[in-house]
Amino acid sequence: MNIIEVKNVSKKFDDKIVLDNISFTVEEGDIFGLIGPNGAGKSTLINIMTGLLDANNGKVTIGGYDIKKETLKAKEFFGLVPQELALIETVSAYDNLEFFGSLYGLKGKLLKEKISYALDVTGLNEKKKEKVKKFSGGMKRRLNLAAAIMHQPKILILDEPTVGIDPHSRNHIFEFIKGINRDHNTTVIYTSHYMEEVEYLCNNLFIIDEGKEIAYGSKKNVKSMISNNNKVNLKIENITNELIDKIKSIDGVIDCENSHDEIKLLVEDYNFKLEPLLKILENNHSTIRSINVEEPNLEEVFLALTGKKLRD
Amino acid sequence: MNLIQLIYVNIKRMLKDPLKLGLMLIMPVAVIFFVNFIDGGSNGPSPSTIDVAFNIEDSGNLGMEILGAQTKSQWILENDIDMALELLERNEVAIVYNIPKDFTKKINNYQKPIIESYKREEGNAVIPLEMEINNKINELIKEKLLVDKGVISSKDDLYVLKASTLFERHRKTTTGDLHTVTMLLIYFIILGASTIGTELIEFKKKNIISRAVTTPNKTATILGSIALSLLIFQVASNLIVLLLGQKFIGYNIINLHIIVVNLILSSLFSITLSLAMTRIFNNESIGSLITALVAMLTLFLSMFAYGGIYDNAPQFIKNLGKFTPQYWIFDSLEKSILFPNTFIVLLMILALFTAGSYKLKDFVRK
Ligand SMILES: Nc1ncnc2c1ncn2[C@@H]1O[C@H](COP(=O)(O)OP(=O)(O)OP(=O)(O)O)[C@@H](O)[C@H]1O
Ligand SMILES: [Mg+2]
Repeated sequence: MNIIEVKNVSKKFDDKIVLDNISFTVEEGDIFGLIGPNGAGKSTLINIMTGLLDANNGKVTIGGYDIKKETLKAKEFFGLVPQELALIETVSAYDNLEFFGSLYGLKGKLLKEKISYALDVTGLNEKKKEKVKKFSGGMKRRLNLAAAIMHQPKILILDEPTVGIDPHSRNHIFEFIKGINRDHNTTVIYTSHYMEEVEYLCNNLFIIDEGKEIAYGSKKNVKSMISNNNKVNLKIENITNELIDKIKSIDGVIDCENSHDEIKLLVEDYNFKLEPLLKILENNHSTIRSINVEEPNLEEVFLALTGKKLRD
Repeated sequence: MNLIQLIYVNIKRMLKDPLKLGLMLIMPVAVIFFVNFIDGGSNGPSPSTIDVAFNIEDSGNLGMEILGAQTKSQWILENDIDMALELLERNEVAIVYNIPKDFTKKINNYQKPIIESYKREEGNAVIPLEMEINNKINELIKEKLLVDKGVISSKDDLYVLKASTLFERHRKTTTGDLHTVTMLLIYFIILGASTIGTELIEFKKKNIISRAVTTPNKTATILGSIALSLLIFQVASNLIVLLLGQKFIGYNIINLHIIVVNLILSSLFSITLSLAMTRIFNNESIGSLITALVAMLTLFLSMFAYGGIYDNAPQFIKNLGKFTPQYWIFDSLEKSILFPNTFIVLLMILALFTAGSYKLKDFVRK
């Protein structure tokens, strides 16, 4: 089931087209990446999806409800972690969560439980009594996340949640995202301009630049847009010409180069299988020291599709 | 209903914010202290700030009695009106009073003597002094009358009596104080509109409002809960201070419900005003400046309309003053009535609210 549908959404600010006919769907339980460089229109799209902005054209449904027409029903489905921190600085982390938790309809004992759940998973329990203005940037980011998860939404929408934080906090957030996706089947929309984050987290993705769709689909499909070929690197002993010839005859192998202890293959993603290769090596009594398969990374995809680097 | 929970956490949050709590409580406490201090310090009329000359031509001895009046400095001359007028000429005194020959005689006949005054120009500065002289003369006549009619045997008895009336009067002035305090609290609630505006803008700037709008609540519920919690907080803190005043200073609160209603109305007006202004003006400093200006202006207009101090204001300004909520609030307090004042103020607030809400969407969004 498609829990989110975005159909032909366009948005202009003054005369500038910021989103140009964007469409995609997200399946329930997916981790969906929305990637693009600064100013691509990611946050504008998120704002339209969450009902903060009206699109000039197009339609967004969340959980089957039109965000413009059945706003409150649609809003029950998600929690938003906005790109700009939205926290009350003059009071404690706990008070912030109490405020936002109440906005999600929690109260009394349940509210208390959910606050301590959110504090736990974001690792802020020890700091809950401290005023937010004394928090470090990373702690504020984690609290910003905590405020969106107390009601355990079916969809968690994160707009660049890892900007300006240390690797420790970043890993914490990644583990949390993987965890709720795995344990609660929470659908995650993850916005970023870090390709490696999306590469690590997401199954499906949408690449946007200057308001236009650059690529959309499963990670594999998107990568195959620039090339269907992968690289396989082998480090082995006993390399002989006979062995090279045998490897070259495997289905899907396009090219084969070798040095004294290394073989580099260029293979077709769809036809090439590892098993025949391993069988040949076994028959040859070669000791395999290492083997790796290299797919093109998203950074390269972006470069190939737009002629630009994602970040400078 | 979620609104109640939202108001509850908002108030709880404000209570935990020492700065906000301080601001809300300090103002009313300061008002009470201020009013009490002023009142406690002035047992008599405040001293005049002018120089006077008295020329005494009185053939009796009562003429001297009025010299006790408080002035900055005084010349006392006997049968020398020329010298007195010369002082006036030389600008050394602002006014000359001539106490006539028949001063004592007239008082003894229970008549008011006529005191001639010579001034260079008309002015209000001498009014307190002249009132004091007038009172003194009345007192002298009263004393004479009471002694002569045998109501009291000597002048001193009058002061025994007066001591008790003085006490009566004191009780009355405390209710007067309460009135002053209530009025001042209301001034400050309305003048505080820009502070409330700042709170709302702060919320907006820190993206709290836009984030709140992504939760499954109506925008009206979200803004309403913030506004209502400010209202409750403001009314409660002012009321608590008044009740403490009743306990410790001895205010004689008679029509509590009228005070409460008017506190609520002024807070409501203050919040609506700040909401409307922050919505109409995108620039926050201009918004809060205009809010403060509107609060001041309406306050002055209401004072013109109410008359008293500013009696010589043009009529159209007085009429304009009747379009301010303050006028009707003060009128309600003064006359201890709710109808139609409450109704009129509510209509004004409603009008302001509608005027401000056309940009509601823009306020919530970026
Ligand atoms: N309120 C606005 N008025 C005018 N232009 C706007 C407004 N908000 C955004 N824009 C413009 O729209 C474009 C897209 O902005 P958006 O914030 O959606 O980008 P983004 O992909 O989220 O970028 P980032 O990675 O920096 O967050 C930008 O060119 C921006 O300048
Ligand atoms: Mg953004």
